[in-house]
Amino acid sequence: MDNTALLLITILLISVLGIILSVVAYSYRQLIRKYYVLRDELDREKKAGKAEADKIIAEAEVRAKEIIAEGTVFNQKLQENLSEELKNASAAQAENYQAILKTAQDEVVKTVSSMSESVKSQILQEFKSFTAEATTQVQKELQAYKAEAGKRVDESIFEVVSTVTREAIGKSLNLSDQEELIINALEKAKAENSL
Amino acid sequence: MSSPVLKLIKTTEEQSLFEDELNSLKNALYQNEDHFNEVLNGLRPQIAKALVTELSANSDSKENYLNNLTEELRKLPTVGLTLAFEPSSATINKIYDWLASHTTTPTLIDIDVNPRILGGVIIVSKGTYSDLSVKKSVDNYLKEHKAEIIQNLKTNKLIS
Repeated sequence: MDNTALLLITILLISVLGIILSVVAYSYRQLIRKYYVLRDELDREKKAGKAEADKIIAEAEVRAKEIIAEGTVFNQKLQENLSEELKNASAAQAENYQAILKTAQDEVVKTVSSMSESVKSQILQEFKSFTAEATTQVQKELQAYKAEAGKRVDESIFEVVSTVTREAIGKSLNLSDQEELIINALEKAKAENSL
Repeated sequence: MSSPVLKLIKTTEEQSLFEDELNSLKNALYQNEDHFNEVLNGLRPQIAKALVTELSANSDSKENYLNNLTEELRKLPTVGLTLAFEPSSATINKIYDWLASHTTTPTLIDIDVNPRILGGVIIVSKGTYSDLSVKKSVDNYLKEHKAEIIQNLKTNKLIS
């Protein structure tokens, strides 16, 4: 191949390369343009969305304020109603209570009046019974005490009599008697094999 | 066969006194004959006389005789008698004579005095206790006839 041919081919290739570069540059420019368009659209949409959100929030705030306001009003109304109800109820209950109290008082008076005689009779009967029992018990205890006291007196007298008897017998024994008693005792002991 | 001199010992009190006398005689033996005779003659006359008689008739040595006599004295049986009064020698003799005539061996009397028994005697012999006192008899009578006595007192209005 000669140099000319090489030159022509090179020129050709360079031309083709130039054309290709031109096409690529054009495509890139178009792409960049499209990118900016899309970015602008996105910005617009973002702005539009924020506005929408702000609008929604604002509307919610307004609604909340309205609800709170309504609630306060309701609360005031409710309190007023409740007070009224309570007032009415208290009055009713007071009337009922008075009625019940009156009834109960009447019942008590009636019951006490009717029972007083029977109770009085019962108490009197029980008192009589208690008095009889107490009298019997006291008499028993008195008799037991008298018996015990008499027994103690008897014991004391008997002890005195015993002491006097011993002393009298002891003093009545002379030496001869004493010696005789000793010998008799020795004989008895001997008979019992105690000596 | 007990020594005749032991029949002169009637109570535990005399037994103790006689043992002291025998010990004095044994101690005198180690000095001289005169001192022994001096001590012997210083004893109670009846005891001294009985010892002289026995010593003169005894063929054994004085020391052996006195030792044997001491042993016999210690072995004499004893009867404990509680009396209501302090007995005289005559009373002791009567009791001793009765015991001597009713027992096989001479028996010493260990006398105790307690007026509260009123009369009679409490005997402690051969390990037995016999209350034969007047007090016990009286107490038994009073105990047995207590109700009767009280009734009599009431009957005679001595008590209500």
